[in-house]
Amino acid sequence: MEFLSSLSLETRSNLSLSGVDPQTIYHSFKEDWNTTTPVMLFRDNQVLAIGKLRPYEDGVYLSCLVVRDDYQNQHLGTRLVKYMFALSLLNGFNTMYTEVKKDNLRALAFFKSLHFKRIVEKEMTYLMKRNLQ
Amino acid sequence: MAKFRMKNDYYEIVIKTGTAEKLEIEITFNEKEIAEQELRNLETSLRLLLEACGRFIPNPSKR
Repeated sequence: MEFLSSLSLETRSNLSLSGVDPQTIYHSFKEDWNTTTPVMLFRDNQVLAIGKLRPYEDGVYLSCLVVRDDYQNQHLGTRLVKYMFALSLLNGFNTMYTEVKKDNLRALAFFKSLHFKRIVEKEMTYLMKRNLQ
Repeated sequence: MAKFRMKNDYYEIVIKTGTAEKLEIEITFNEKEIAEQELRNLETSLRLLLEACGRFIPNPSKR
């Protein structure tokens, strides 16, 4: 519950709408993709990891990727992002974008390992892109 | 409750279960033949779903 309480009101609202589905992965239907869609990884009625997707330019934009502290280093973030890759492709999106702070070396390495490329350097962040096909 | 539902010109796909033990996908085709690029997307998506469920670990250089 501490994890849930750390989420924004909007995300918590979506969480309650989607319900808790044990030991599986949930995401909203395509009709919801006009807004930000939360994608979650569940185990034993608990949210272990969450990320958000929304349409962006010619693809989707991944934000708010979080893995619960006590489930770090178990490749759950990788698995969740790969699930997001699949859902995006099935929804007809061929490109995924994300933005990472320049000083967040761990996140930069994580997204690089998933074949994201830096495409724009901003003042504080890098915009990264990954072709899904 | 389905975890994912999407419909395009070629088929409707529903992911009913996505766990390490079970990946349950239902694809209902319409009359139109699937375009080659759409087939490639389906193949890639299935591989990614298997990776997400922990059933397939790709070569590190291709992750």
